[in-house]
Amino acid sequence: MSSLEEPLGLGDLPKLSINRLGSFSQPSAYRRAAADDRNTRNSCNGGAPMVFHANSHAWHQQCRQADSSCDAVEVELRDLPRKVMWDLPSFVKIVEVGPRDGLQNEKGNVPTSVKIQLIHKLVAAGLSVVEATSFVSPKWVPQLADAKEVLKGIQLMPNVRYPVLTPNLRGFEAAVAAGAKEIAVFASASESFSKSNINCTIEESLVRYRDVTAAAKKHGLLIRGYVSCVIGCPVEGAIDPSKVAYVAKELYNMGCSEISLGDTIGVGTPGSVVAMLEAVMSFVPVDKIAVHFHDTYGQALANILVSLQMGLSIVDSSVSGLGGCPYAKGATGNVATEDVVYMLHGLGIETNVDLNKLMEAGDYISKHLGRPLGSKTAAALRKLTT
Amino acid sequence: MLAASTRVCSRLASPHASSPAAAAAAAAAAAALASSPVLGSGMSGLERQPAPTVAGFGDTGRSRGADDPPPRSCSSSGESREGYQWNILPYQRQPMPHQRKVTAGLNHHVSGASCSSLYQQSYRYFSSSSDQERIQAGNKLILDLPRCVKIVEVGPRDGLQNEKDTVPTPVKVELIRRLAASGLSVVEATSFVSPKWVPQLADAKDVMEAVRNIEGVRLPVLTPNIKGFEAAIAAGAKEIAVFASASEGFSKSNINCTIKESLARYNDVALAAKEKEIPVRGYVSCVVGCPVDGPVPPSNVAYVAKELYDMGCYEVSLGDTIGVGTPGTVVPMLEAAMSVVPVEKLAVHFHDTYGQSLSNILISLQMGINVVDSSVAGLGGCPYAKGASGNVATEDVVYMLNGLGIRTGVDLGKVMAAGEFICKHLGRQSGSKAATALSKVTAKASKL
Repeated sequence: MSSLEEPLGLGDLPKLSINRLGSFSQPSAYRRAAADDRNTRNSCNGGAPMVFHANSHAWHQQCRQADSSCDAVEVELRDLPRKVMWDLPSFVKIVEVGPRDGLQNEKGNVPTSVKIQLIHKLVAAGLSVVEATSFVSPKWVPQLADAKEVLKGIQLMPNVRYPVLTPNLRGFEAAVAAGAKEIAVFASASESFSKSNINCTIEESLVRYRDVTAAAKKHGLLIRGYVSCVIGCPVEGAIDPSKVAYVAKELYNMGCSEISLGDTIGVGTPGSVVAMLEAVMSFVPVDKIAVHFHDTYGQALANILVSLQMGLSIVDSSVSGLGGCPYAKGATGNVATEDVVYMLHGLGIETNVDLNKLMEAGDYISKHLGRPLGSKTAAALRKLTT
Repeated sequence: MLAASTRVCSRLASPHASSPAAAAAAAAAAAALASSPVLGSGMSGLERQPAPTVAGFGDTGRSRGADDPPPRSCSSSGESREGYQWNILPYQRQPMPHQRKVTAGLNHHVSGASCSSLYQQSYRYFSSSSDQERIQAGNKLILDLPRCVKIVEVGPRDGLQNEKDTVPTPVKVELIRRLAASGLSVVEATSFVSPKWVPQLADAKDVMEAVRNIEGVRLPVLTPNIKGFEAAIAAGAKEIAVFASASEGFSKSNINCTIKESLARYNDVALAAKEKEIPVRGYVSCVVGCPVDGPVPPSNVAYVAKELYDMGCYEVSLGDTIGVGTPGTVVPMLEAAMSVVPVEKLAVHFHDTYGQSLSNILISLQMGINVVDSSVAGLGGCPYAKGASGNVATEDVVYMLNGLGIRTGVDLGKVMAAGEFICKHLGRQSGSKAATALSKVTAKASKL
């Protein structure tokens, strides 16, 4: 039985004409192709027989005329893959949020040593950004009460970032004392969610974060900004993209090197995602934007795909889909890193992540939490090999 | 600017979300969220009505020129070989700000996804011209999608066939009834194969006889050979389906013959069907990968699809049997199939074994496909990776299509109810994330 552990990528296919996808990279050519109206289709007689051309390995309609109008059919078809796959990034950075966003939303509590081991395994799998923990009051997030011990206990690898959440100056100072080199702050695009989640308005939270980011800059720390509820809010319902853009812009202007847009309750679908990204991209450069989709309604991978098509190249995900949805008890939350990596590798996009080692990390933490794997890829590959 | 953002909001707002009661209590808001069509759930459902024609676009700034094709309506009835008429409008670039009206659930026509032009009016700042291009490209990615998608429900056949337990005939019949009532226009009812191979569907004749008269829905059945075909017709079937593999290895191990031999067999069946004016749906399995042979060349898929289409199948469904496809392999495969079969005659049948099906469906829609197979509650595990999931869940597909403003004619709430029904009888949890999430949200809301 052939090994299907790595997704079947373009490289596995025999050299068909369709592999032109790889050589196409000119946006101007795209514009030319896009300008072709669909009305150029069917310039040949509709009933002309199909002939297989051995050179191009493509079926062409055989036209009586010898002119170039017969190329219309093939051109039309070639335009489609170009249109849907053009300009996908060649490398996507995955930001692994399992140890923080994941564990923070799991029912069970995990010992400090297991958290540290998990982070080590994730880094060993090739992930270059692993959100280590959160310096919030243990009253709110008991699962991460050992933030200081975790951060101090990790063996920090070069070229790997270990951001930690710091909701206020106090948390920031604790993080710095524990050796943090990167911090993260969290604002909401929804006023109601901001009030119910962190007990203040959006503006008040931004004021607070300006203090934190000013202090961070003084210490030479990197800052990651999160925007939550970018599509929908459990209280308000749908969120206006312009509000997301506003919060993203504020976070960017106060010094965040990356802005992660979070669909906190997972209700986004590609249409609403594109609208939201368009708004944010008017203010924040695309290479500074990350997407953080929740898979609560199964929409995450489709949303990630369309984000890649829009030019984004940073994706947040959680090993084994750790972290349920706090608003629909029992429903899933974060998208599983293994599933994301499977798709990216299948698209021919580099991630530097070793899927097998990643699955090991997922197995490890799922066993300790006593919960089944939250990744379909991991579940399928595991069944195949046992 | 305020008006613009209000208009954008209204695309997304349900009638309930704006009422004071909903704003006041979180519980009511959760319920409103569940019933909000915008957030993709479309639980209030789309009634089966003809879609708005292009005339409805008259005030959007996109004017119909004399050369535009005549508007075609989405019809959920009318099932001849000529097939469904889908309203696929060519996207036309407008230098002026444009709006596309997107139906969001309750026939609620509001501004659609192209609000970038609104932002560009309001915010004078652009980071760079290449970002401008990306924004316009984003527009195109979503606006060029088909206006309607036909969902072919395969739960009662492909789903139940791959479930461990067998379900009694009355339960199968009730499931089909409920699915038909939810607005699905095609529900694969059963399979006339030897009970030796598929014991779960041994009651094919009884099921078919019980459902043959359900109105407003097509009920294709699988018929692998003339014997099965004759049994199907005797039981009252009005539509049949045949199954060929794009991979020799799978063909031999699954149906004990080569691809060519199977096609010859199906040709006989197709001829017999043509004589009786019975439509035939063709399936191609292993269109991306095969558990025996590994990667499957797209040219194989094109060959089999063309053969099925030429022998008279009105539609050819391309199945990623083991779910290994990603857009990187799906796109070349579709390109090959589309070069030999018209795109409107192709359907995609993705398995969610690796969680890839919704992104594969999205890319297929972007390529022009507008028929999608799915299975209520994600019924039907993968026969090649025991315990792994199989079919993509209809509820998750409908959730995405609703969110994209694509008409399906399907009431998500009713499909969810059908899914709950069958899962109870199978003693298993729903394989649909959307259904699970929506039922948790409403359960929580109803407690308050």
